[in-house]
Amino acid sequence: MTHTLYREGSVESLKNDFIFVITGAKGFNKKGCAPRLREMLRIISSFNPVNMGSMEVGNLGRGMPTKEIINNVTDAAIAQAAFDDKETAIKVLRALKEADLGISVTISGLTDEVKEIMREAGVGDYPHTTNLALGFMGRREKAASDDTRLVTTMCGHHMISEGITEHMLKMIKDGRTTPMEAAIRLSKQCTCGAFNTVRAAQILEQLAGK
Amino acid sequence: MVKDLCVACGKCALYCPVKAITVDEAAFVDQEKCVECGTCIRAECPVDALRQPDLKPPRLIRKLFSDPLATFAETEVPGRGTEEMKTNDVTNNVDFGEAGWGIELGRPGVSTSFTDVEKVAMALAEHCVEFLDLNPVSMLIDHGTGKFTENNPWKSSPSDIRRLRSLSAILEFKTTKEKVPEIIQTLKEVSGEIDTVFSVGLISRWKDGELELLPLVEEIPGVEARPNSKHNMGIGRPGSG
Repeated sequence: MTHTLYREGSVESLKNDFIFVITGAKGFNKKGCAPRLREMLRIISSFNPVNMGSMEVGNLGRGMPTKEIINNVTDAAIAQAAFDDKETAIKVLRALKEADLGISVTISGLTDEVKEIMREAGVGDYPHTTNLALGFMGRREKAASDDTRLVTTMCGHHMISEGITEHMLKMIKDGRTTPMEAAIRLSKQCTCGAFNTVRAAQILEQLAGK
Repeated sequence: MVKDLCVACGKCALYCPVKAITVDEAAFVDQEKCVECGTCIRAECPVDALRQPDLKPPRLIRKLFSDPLATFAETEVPGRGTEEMKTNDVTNNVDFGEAGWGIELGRPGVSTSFTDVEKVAMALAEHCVEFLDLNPVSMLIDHGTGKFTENNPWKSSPSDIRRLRSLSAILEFKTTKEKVPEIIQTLKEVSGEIDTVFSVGLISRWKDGELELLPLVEEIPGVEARPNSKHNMGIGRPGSG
């Protein structure tokens, strides 16, 4: 699926949001790929992602230890990790390239920034393929507000509801929780680990100050 | 929902992404709205009053399309059951001169009826798009007409399928790159006939440092590519399996 696509926000607010996804290709290299996925996750985890996980296993946001996530990954996994700075993303991609395990890697993020990450990591000047986000159509009035979607679209499976996001925002405004505590609470609902808690905390803080 | 246990705290209602839960003396789950995504069960109910029964088709299809923890046996992919372009460096599903499409009904966060899924699929089928085989929606529809067929892995009838809802459902297909403007026009038209939203993803190869389909998109009024997208690094390769 396209669970790391369609994240909303300004260019400025997306500059600290890079999500790596690794997965095997059915009929090509999926069968028996779990050991390679685990090795890649070991590499990724050594760079301290703000979140990391796999749908069928769990993620850091839900309190699962890194070792347990890695050990439980199966051939079917779509594993992901979120990073909040470009320099680390460069190091991660360079390390994955050097490991040369033959598993596909995608990075969701600002196109210009990702191209720079690729160049710095020695992977090439531009991606192999890109899924362009062209926004959404239809009964737009049924979707959550523009502000709320800044947070909820960071979980592409939409496990983070409009209701709990707005409730957390109110708690921050009332002084009953901090933006980071609220972001961590929200990240528990994201089953795969693509939710960027650092970016979420920054957005919640800004929205609470409005 | 175990009514005797429920303390009507309302926590599950806050977490429900489709607003299917209301709370009076106890929480009540509207089974028509509920998409079986499992979010309420993972919301840490203080008295463990929420349970998901052992689901059978067609109800099970709601879960398969809504709960990221459910894996489609046929595609071997959890989430919404598709590899999309994540592995395109290995599969080359979308080649030069081609456009890959991912139309995700219900997203962001609105949910969708399967009547609307069929409506959009039928509109696209009129343009002879090539629906991808390894996709859960493709397994429910006739690829020539876009209509639901009972020839599906769950042996559910088209009328039963039309009564379903899910958090989202992704139509994946390919066209030639020349068809990009007409497909977008079709999407604009059908978007006025449905009771939900859909997100539009357009998969393109890069050629000589340029995203092959971007110039075509830029010529279409009212459509804008976001500055952030998903990018395949090109470091995968075929192996066994």
